[in-house]
Amino acid sequence: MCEIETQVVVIGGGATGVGILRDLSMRGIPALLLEQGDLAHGTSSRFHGLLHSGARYAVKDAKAAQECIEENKIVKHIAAHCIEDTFGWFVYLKGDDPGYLQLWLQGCDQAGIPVKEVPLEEAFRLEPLLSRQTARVFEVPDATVDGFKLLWANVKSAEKYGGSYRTYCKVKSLWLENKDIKGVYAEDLITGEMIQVRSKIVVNAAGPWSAEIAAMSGFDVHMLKNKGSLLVFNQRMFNRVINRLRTPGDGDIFVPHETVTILGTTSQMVDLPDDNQVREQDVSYLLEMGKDLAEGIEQHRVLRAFAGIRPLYESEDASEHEGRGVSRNFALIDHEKRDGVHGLVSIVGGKLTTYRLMAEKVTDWAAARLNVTTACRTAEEPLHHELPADVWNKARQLLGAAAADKMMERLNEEAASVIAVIEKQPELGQFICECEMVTQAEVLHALQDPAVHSLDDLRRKTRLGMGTCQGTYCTYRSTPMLKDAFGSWERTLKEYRILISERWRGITPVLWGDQLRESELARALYLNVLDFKAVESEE
Amino acid sequence: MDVRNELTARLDACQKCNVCTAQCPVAKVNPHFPGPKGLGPDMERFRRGQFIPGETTLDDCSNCKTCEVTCPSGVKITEMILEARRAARKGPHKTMLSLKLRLRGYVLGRAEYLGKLGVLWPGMANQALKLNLVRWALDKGLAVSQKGPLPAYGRPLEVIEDKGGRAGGAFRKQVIYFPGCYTRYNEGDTGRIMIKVLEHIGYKTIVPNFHCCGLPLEANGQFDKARKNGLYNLELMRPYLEAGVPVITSCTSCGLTLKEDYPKLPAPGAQMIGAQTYDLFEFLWQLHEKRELPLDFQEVKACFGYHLPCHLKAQGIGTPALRILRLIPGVKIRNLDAGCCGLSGSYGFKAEKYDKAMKIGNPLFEAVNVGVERGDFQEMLTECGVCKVQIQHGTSIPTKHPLRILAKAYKIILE
Amino acid sequence: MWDAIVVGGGLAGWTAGIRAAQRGKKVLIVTEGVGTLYYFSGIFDYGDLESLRHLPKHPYSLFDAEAIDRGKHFIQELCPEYIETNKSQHALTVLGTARQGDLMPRSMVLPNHQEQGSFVLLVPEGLKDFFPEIVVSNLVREFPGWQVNVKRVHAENFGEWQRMGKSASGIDYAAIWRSKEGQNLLAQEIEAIKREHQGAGSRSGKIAVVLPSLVSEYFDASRTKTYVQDYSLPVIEMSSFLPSPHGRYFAEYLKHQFTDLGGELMIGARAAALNGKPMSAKQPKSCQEIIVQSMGKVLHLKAKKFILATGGLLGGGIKVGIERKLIQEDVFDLPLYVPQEWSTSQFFASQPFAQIGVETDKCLRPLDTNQGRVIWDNVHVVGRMLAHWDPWTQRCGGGVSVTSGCAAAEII
Repeated sequence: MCEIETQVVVIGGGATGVGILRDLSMRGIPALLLEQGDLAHGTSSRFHGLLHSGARYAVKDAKAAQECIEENKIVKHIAAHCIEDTFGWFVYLKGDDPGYLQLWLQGCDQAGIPVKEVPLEEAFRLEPLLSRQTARVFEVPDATVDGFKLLWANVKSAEKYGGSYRTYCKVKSLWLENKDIKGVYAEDLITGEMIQVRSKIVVNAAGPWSAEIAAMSGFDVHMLKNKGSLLVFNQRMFNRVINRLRTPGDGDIFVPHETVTILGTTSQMVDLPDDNQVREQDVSYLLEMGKDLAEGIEQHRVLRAFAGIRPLYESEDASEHEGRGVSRNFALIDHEKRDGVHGLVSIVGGKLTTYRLMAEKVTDWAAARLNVTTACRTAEEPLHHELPADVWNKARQLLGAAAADKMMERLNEEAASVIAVIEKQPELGQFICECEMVTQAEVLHALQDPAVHSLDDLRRKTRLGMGTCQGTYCTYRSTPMLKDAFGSWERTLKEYRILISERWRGITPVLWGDQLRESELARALYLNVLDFKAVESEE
Repeated sequence: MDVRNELTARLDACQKCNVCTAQCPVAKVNPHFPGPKGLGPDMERFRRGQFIPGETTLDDCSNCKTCEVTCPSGVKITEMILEARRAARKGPHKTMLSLKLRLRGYVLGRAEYLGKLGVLWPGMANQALKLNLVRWALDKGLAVSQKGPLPAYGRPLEVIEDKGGRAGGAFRKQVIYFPGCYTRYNEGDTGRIMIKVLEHIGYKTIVPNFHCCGLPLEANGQFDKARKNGLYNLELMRPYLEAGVPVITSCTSCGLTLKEDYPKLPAPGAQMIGAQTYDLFEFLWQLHEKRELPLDFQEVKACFGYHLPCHLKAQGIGTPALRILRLIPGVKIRNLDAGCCGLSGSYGFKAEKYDKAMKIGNPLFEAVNVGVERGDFQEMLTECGVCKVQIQHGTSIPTKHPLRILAKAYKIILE
Repeated sequence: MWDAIVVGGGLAGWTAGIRAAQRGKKVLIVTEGVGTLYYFSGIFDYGDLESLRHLPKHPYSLFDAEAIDRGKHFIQELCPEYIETNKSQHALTVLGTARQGDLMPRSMVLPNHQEQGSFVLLVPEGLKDFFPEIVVSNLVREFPGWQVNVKRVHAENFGEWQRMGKSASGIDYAAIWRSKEGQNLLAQEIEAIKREHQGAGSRSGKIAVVLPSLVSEYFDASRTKTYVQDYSLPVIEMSSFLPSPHGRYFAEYLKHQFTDLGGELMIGARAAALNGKPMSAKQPKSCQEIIVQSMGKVLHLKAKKFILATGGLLGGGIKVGIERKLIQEDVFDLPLYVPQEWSTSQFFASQPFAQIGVETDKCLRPLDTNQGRVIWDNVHVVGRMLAHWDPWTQRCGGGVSVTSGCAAAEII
């Protein structure tokens, strides 16, 4: 058994968890984050990637709208490299409810969300695929956010301030003595080793798994697990976020993301926190809804479908909410107050857009208990690092503008070292993943990260396998690096199979057209050209 | 479906198999060129809606369209690259071409003006082009390769106005001939023979005063001028198109432009031009299928090698010249099908591209030389003027338009 | 009017076209692109013929043993270097693992695992998608009794590529190995290897050189001078990765064979529909012409017979629309067998969708899926367009394509 001592344990390596870790670390509070899988493997990477302007909540939830627009401005400032400031359009179709339009305009105005009407002709020119049923278009400061990049930026920053984290480390039980939190017991899933962490405070930021963590203290947190399915299209169909101007519902938002477009989202209650398999009926439903907003959607290639679990919190009693600053979108549950368990706090609900605010509230709570008076600085201190112009120029010269820019955004301050490697060994500047233009040097760099334990982890770090071919070629091209990193040939083959199976899970719900052809090509490559042994299909 | 949707759909079809890159003649000889997939569908996903400044390799594509006829998924790769090139020229950060290169683009793009100048004093122009000093000056002054096989000028093809009054009226059988700059200014003879052949088979030929089809302008970045020429030519053709008169081309690049680009122009004739344009032999073959082609051939005892120009291949009509010539008693032809000649319009005339163009053409030159050494044939045939010039430059084997063999069989010419 | 029009330029289409042209027929091949031959490993898989022939409705069940042999002979006549031995023969994949194969070039066949000897892996510098360390470790595992050494070989043609750090494709390297300069270079390298081994006094067992991206001259380069250099050691070819050098040279070779026999290739053209009429009310219909989209216009091409070789799902001959609401055979709109279940949760398993295709009678004419009647009298379906097989898990892609292509040509 390995023993560790710290002040605060944060359970959950999603956006909220890493935000808390950073905030604690910046305020000088020693903290350790434990994550059962890879960072961002849950909801933080399984959503549409929208940085809300708040306009989607303008009618239903004024408080949330206001929080969103405030956080929107902050995140755009502190994490510019994770954001593409695309702006968002709210599209009012012929026949939509004019009453809602009025309410929406008022709501935006009250929340302080700037709205600008776009003339129709200009709208069609700028977004040729926009439905011809469009009657009016309004622009708001929506943006797109890369959940992966945002998480790593937070973790990197936290590490600089002394915070630490462990992935593939699953909390097995809370260490409680007479309703006092003493820490947690966890298992390192890679080595199988048990870990005892002593701490004064435990923060439950486990997202869809929060109820399970809270239950370890013997008390219930009433969580609803709501599955949202999304589709990924092969190209940027739109250059702005496209929302339907009506009560937010299913299949009414297109979000352009790097080279792809995401169509979201469905809503379905599920029992398990990892029930993220997309059903074919979800896909049909999304496409049916998406047709209203986009012309000729059926002509576009869908790469894959994926789903995330929204951890929705339903409070039984409004009085248990801590502080006025917490809206009903997210809730901070003080288990000391509610259940008499000292030192345990759960943060539930919320949006990625407000991750920083949630972290601030939790950290304020923890700081108060630890008598730390340092103020929160996460709203001011940037997460990214401005790279000098010569590094940009060098990267563009070596890799071409498109590939260089994407890599610089992903690597940020670590880019310079990767570029130096490429300059010295130009062959490492070749693309492992040609669809997403990921270089060998970047893959090698990512593999040095001790938190990368599998090819699938590598994918999240680099976008390897996220493009058109969905891993067919880049998996193969990673072979020698995988073998170096993971040791044996058997392990390499296993990694192949895991990644390709994971990709397959997302492809099967959309197995038609060009993606079906691509899958046949992948089967030809693996089963014939590379002679992988076929497995018996299960009965 | 508008053009953008068509390109979008075709972009989605890309399977990332790299077969286009493997077949690309430019990628084989130029390591700086990312290849058709890299520059086309791969980059296109990054380009969508956004201008990527500093894309320096767009001009390396020679527009031979080998990638498009290679692609197992029907992706319009060259078109994507040309589209990006257009956007780059219009973009806020225009590609920073030196004055010299811009001037060269202007000169090479205007085959027509050069032609007009050249044919005023063909003897003088040809002598000048043969002078080392002149070629040296072109090379230094305009980066037009000193070694490239610039074609010679001859007696130009005359414009033959429609004197029959109303289009399609007086003559039941008439055709419009789109000779193209090469035939018009460098090889007027071929044009005149063609008119005689058409006459022999019962067709009257009209040659309106067309401008350059626009392809060399496009290839040299003069997109607006290309478009203007297209609109001008279409307007000249319109009355004939409406009367159902076919348009015949003998230059394969002009033919491709008329079939591929003109239908996209915003002009009344655009809807008709694609279906009514015929490569000469394509036209003859459909007459033959209707049993309207006279078969009064004399025997021509000769063996030929045949080079299929890239821009004819891209038309997707096979090899109609071989079909027709094989009807002539005595003619033996071997289709070499050994890839691009390398010149690709004006690509190989550019100083920095001359060596690459020669390398691209190497497999073809070798196939020609091997065929001649083995005694399979003594002469080469090909429809495209610049392919012809390049094959002769690379092999010294006499090369002609297949039309000449047909004319000989019809006893229109002696040799 | 052609004797036959073949739609599709993949293995089955070329086989049908060449075989028919050999029989003196006038044939046109219409194809949109180069087809899937560029994904060819270099090996023809026939699979477990006996058991597959007894699978209900498997394409092999349409043929007798002679038809299958005729297909093999066709290939062996075109490329006599392709051999088949009684015991199972293996070749190297691009990863250096040994893979069983039925018909493969003599120069690809691996020595017996039981023997002793040493391999020298010649590694072309900067060859794309090739990993020498992996190949070595796999060779060592596959051949425990063998020594494995590596020697790098530098081709100056790609000097500029290497200085830029850019790799060269297998197809480009294959061109070098087929040229005079490339063969001289190899001869020198191999001679040096031989001398080294003799110098080291290692007399035990034999030495074999292993070279990736090599396609020997068995796909005759009739358009070029053929250089055949004798090497002082045996050289083993590896099978190809994509885009495949073997596929490329094979496709070129087939094309030249075909056009030299008087066949015509129409590339860049898409067959879109057909015109035909019933011979009589109760009889199958007869197709008169197909409609082909060329650049800018539609061509009507007439023939006596039509061969459908459009390559199934991968070749693009079967189009599956969004949400699988519309599944269509792309040219003749033939009825298709479509499995109920579509896919399995395991990628590396047999996939039901692979079984999609056209059901035919023994003459390869398309059948109505309900009543089993012949629909078109003069249309024959070959290769991947046939229903009820999975080339990748049953390992019979080459076998079915060649056999059906040949069989169709015999009917023309």
